[in-house]
Amino acid sequence: MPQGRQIAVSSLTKRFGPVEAVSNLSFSVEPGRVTGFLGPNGAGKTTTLRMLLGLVAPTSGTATIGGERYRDLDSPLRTVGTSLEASSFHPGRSARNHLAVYADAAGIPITRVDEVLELVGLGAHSGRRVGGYSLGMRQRLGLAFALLGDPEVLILDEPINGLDPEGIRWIRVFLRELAAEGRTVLVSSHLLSEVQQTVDEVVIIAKGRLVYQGQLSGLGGEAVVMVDAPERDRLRSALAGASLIFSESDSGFAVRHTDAIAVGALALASGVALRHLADERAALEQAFLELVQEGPQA
Amino acid sequence: MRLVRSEFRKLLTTRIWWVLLIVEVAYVAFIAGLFALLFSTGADLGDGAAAPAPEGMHELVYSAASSIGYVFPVLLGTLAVTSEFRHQTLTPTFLTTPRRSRTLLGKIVALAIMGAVFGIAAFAIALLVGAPLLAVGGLDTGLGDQETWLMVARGVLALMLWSIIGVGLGALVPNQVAAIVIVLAFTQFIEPILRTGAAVWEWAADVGKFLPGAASDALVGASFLSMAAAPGSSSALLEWWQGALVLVGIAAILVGIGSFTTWKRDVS
Repeated sequence: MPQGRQIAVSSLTKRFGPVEAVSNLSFSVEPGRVTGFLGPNGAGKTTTLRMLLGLVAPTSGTATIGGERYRDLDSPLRTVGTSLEASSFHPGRSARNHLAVYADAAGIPITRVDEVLELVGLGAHSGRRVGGYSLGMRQRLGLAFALLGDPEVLILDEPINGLDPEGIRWIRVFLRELAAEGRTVLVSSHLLSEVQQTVDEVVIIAKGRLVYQGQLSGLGGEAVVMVDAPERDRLRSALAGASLIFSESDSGFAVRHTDAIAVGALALASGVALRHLADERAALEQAFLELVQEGPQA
Repeated sequence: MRLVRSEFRKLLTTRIWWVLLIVEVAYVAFIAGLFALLFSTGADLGDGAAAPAPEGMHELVYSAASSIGYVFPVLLGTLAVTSEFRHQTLTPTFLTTPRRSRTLLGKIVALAIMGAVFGIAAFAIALLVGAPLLAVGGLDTGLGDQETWLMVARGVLALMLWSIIGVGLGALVPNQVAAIVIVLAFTQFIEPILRTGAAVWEWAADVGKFLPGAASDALVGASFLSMAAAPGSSSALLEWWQGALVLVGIAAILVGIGSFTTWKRDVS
């Protein structure tokens, strides 16, 4: 059973010449859950992750994993598994050899290479040169690299990018399983919707600063009931008659300050046949966008 | 040790090492064979001025392995570093080994061993092609002479040092195309010209003997390039150990500067 370690980022700052890519950023990531690291492109997510991993030197501040800097870890690959962008491969090397190179350096047995390739669904392609891989396959190989040392902490930068729908479903389940085993899982994305169903907590940054950390539900996205009927006019008058607050779109009505049971009862009482009825948190994405567009409060 | 094995796997799992090795062997075979043939047929090398003493001919023939072949371990060493920058494999490399100097050390050891392999291959083919041709011409093959084998050993050492110089150059000039251009321009063009100039002017000879290629030839103890540059000047080459020190020095300076500049930089 892996221990899981806390990731702690404290007053982290990175300046590239006059540009401050990351400004005084502090947050923590707990084991046993999946944490989303969100922000628009260029918000400083990758730079932050690279500072956490010792690849980029911070201008000031610290980033630690289980209290230690990455470069001070005894066996980095067995502690932290990382997948950054999907292009860090020599195109002439096979997937199996690619992983074997790092297994050698980390003292991980070569049998583990075949295990992780099997695990991510690349077992049948392990001997092929990576140059011929699709984006989705490279993404899976990146994940295989992250899993090589069976680490307690997983840091994945945009892992869903380029995956097919089946792959997305698979990785969601997989990440939840890893977190349930007690591991620390940090997943970055520029789209909330991409990780919405996977993450327990979110860290949101914009323009290099923290704008939100906490539960997804605390993001301010209020509950909305989505409802639609073949006879929209009758449904509209029924909703208006019950003094409900709602908005109308191509896909039907979004009703606020109520729930699906109440709306369903109203439709039944009014004799309106429904096409669709569901509780949704549709405003979450909207709340996220507003948050990152406003940027941090100065 | 783990890092050396990892670096070895990096080298052996792409095609470049055997492409370079095949080209090296073919090139050395051609040059060594050509010289052996010229010597054994008694071809006129131009008024005899530059003609070597008959007893030294076999050394000239065999030393093509180092005087011509040294560019290949340099390229291998350079590419071993620049390809990591080019394909962004520095990211997984440094994630696996965050203490970056250890990776560089692993590369140096792995490349030194590969340099020895390249050296043994080059001298093997030079002996294999050269000796029979010399024998046909009734010339001494030197195969029974301890001196010949000492020269081969020094030649293998030279190619080991050259591969480390390649690593240092790659660390200093991470741009792959630029690094290759520098290697080829320097070894194939700039240094030969400078050394030819050294045959004409005394001051150029004093400087020229410290050029890496000249130092390498001094270490090995024979080269047709220094033969061409040598007439009248007994000080044309350093002692063999001085030559070795010059190569070690160049390697140390390149690796040293590279490890404190590009190797330390942010990887993004």
